[in-house]
Amino acid sequence: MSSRLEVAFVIFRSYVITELLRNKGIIFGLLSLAVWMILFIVPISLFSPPGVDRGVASAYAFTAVLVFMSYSMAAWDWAWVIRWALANNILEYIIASGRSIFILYLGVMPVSIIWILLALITVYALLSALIAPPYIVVRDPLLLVMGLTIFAIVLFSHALILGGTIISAGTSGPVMEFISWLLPIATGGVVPLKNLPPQVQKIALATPYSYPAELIRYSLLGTETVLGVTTTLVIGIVYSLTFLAATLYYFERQLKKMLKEGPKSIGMY
Amino acid sequence: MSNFIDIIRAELKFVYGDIFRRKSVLIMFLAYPYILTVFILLIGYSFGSPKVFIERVGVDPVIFFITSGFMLLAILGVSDDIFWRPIFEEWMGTLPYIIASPVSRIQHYLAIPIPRLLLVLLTGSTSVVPVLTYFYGLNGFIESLVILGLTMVGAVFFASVSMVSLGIIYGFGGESWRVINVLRPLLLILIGAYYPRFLMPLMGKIISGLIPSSYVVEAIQRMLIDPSVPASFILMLLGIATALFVVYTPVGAKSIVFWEKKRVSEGVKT
Repeated sequence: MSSRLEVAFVIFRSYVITELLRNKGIIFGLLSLAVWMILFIVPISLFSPPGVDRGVASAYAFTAVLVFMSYSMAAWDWAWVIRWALANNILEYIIASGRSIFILYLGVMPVSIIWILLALITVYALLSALIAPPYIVVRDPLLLVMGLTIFAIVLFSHALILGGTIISAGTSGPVMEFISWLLPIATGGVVPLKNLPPQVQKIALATPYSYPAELIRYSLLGTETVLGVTTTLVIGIVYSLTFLAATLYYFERQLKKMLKEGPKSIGMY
Repeated sequence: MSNFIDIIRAELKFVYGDIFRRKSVLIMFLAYPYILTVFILLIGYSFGSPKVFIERVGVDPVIFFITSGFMLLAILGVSDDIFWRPIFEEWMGTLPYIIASPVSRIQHYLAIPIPRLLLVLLTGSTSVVPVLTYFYGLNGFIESLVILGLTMVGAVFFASVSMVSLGIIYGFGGESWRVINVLRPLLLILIGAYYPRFLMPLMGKIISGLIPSSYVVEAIQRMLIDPSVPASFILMLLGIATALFVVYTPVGAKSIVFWEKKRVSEGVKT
């Protein structure tokens, strides 16, 4: 057990140094995020009528960014780390060592959570400066915690699908980027489900992604959910756990496939 | 000249070999302008109104953002190709071979974005062309072809800025990709594709005015807002863009040489 803790600490420490501390990584990272956010938030402000409550508009933008960035974290941190390990010939060593390839997650996950918290503070500050301070009130703390937990399970499962596809097919960056953009849009992550056309609502509700986003929005903004809070919560829990089991099975299958066929090569993008 | 064509041919093989091997990448390139447009419109409409946008900018947001998304992709294609190539070569261990090769570095870096630009033309023909034709009919179709042509020019002009930046950033060493990750979106803001130059505050206008592509982007946006905009005004904008490109290209060439000399003097890091 102590050996595992030691391994966990060493990996976590190396990720903190590499991603956050070395060459002022965190400062450059937050700067980059702030500039990307300005690129997309400023044109959105061109839609805002003079009479609208800017704090509420800002709060909607904040939750949209929260959900969107969480998807990005799952894709670019949790799934991409497998591609990175594959590209740098590290994956083979981990497999040969007899440890689970999830060992990398002991470093990646805490660091990406620290990162996303800092990024959200930056986004909050940016929105306050560019539009208005987001009007966020936690209406139901317990529901918020449950929503975030379901969201974490769904995101991890999402990373497993992407990670599994990377090791079996050598999936490239643009495909990951495409999924990172499309999923939050199509599953009600960016805009409340009730504001989407009925057909899109149906598609969104058929996926496990929409339920935690609805719960988080309800807890923070009081936005009405399409199915009602209790139904959304119950389906969200059952669906996320089923999704996790299915994606774990899928990932294991891809891993076996890779061991049989050998690692796939990767391209520039 | 034949050397330059050979380099382009090699780059075409490199890029298209990868793209046709991964057809999903090709589909993604075609879908991107639509995804960006839907993303912004959904958030914009959820707390605002298209009427307000039309009053402020002077054009329907669907037309504006599909064109902006296309322009952004075209310019991003050029900047990404140029900015990331040295890092890719370094990570793949091929940089020493590239530096040791007798190929002119300037020709090489001018050739790098060409395959992606041709691909972007395809992206435009599946995004800007159908949308403008749907909204404005035959006039829209003709206008969309002009936009495609001008966007290509704007993207090529951006190569000079990318080369200048690349040489300086890589020349000073360190983990250059961190700086590039900040610089890329900053340049994209300043070209004014998503937030027009003419709406920017004075300081933004001044800094944006240093980027050749920003004038091409403005020319396209002015044409979208008012199709009867005087040709002389558009030509003036294109003239300024061309002049800046002519000024920056030799600086970009020197910048690349600076980076290369620095790399050679330091030796290859493993």
